[in-house]
Amino acid sequence: MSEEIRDDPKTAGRILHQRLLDGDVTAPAEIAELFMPIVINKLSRGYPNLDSHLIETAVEDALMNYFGRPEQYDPAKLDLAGYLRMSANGDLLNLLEREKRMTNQQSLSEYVELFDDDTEHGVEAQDDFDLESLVFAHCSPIWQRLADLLPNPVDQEIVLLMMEGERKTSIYADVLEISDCPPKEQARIVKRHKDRIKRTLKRNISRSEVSENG
Amino acid sequence: MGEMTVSAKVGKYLAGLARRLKDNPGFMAYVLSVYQTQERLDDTALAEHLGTTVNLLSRLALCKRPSTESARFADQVKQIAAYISTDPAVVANVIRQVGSLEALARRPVALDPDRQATRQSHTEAGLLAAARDRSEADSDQSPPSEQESSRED
Repeated sequence: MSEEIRDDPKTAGRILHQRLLDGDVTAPAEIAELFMPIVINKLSRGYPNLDSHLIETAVEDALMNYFGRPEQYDPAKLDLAGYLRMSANGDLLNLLEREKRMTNQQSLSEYVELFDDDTEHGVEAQDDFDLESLVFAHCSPIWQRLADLLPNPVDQEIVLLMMEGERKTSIYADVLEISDCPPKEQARIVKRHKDRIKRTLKRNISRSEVSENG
Repeated sequence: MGEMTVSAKVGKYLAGLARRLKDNPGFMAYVLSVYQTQERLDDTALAEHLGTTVNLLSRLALCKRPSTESARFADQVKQIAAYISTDPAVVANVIRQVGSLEALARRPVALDPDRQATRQSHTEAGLLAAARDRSEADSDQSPPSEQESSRED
């Protein structure tokens, strides 16, 4: 593959994906070599406190799944880097959620031991509907539908950045190609896009779906 | 075609993925792992045997395994060899040797359970010797060794 194409991951992804489907023997190696650093780098920025080994393992899983079933990826809906990032992110979030649940269960059992069983009033621990934490941390099937819900690649990139906990307006401004606007204008436009995306996702993900998967 | 070097960081990522694919017979990672075990080669020795570098071994490991039964076998081997800048004949021999061992290992060994246990203990060394003979004999000929062994069955 030429240098020019390698420098354009979106085009390279489309070409390499087709080669993988065609049974090209070096395609998996070329895909791994080009996309592992990109995906690991993006995820590491999103999870700065997470063990790098976990991130690398999640990316390895994403690639192995992709190599095993390349036909599940639709390049018309999402670029290959985004697809792999989404897949690895889903694994990471599931892993973090499992760990969180285990920690909660542990602290709850420690807490319950202090009290008798005949409590008269129970308190239901339910926070407000926090879309980012609920949807982004609990509901992995949504990632399979993401491309249908948000067909615009810019919207998909924004969701991926939100999933990764990106807070910098300038990063979103780059994606939206509004970096030339004044900072206040950038912040306003970014917020408008994020709110619109959240509304779209919220409309399409019911609470029951979230709790079933949570 | 990629460059003939891989940065240390990317090399580490590729090596990690290659390790995960060692159990997948569809990848060269599996072929290299079996070959290394049977020939008792570490990565450096394997790289030397293949005429490449340890760094490029991961690239090779992440390639799909060409099927010796495919009409595209020679072309696929050439493509892989060019990708890691090595001699296609050496790559082909490694693939054929591992394929021969797999084919021989699939043969029914013995009906008598006692004899079977005894023969299994000799299987690895015997198969390796047989495969070596076959690889050498096959190196300039095309008939895939798996087909030979299935005819023998």
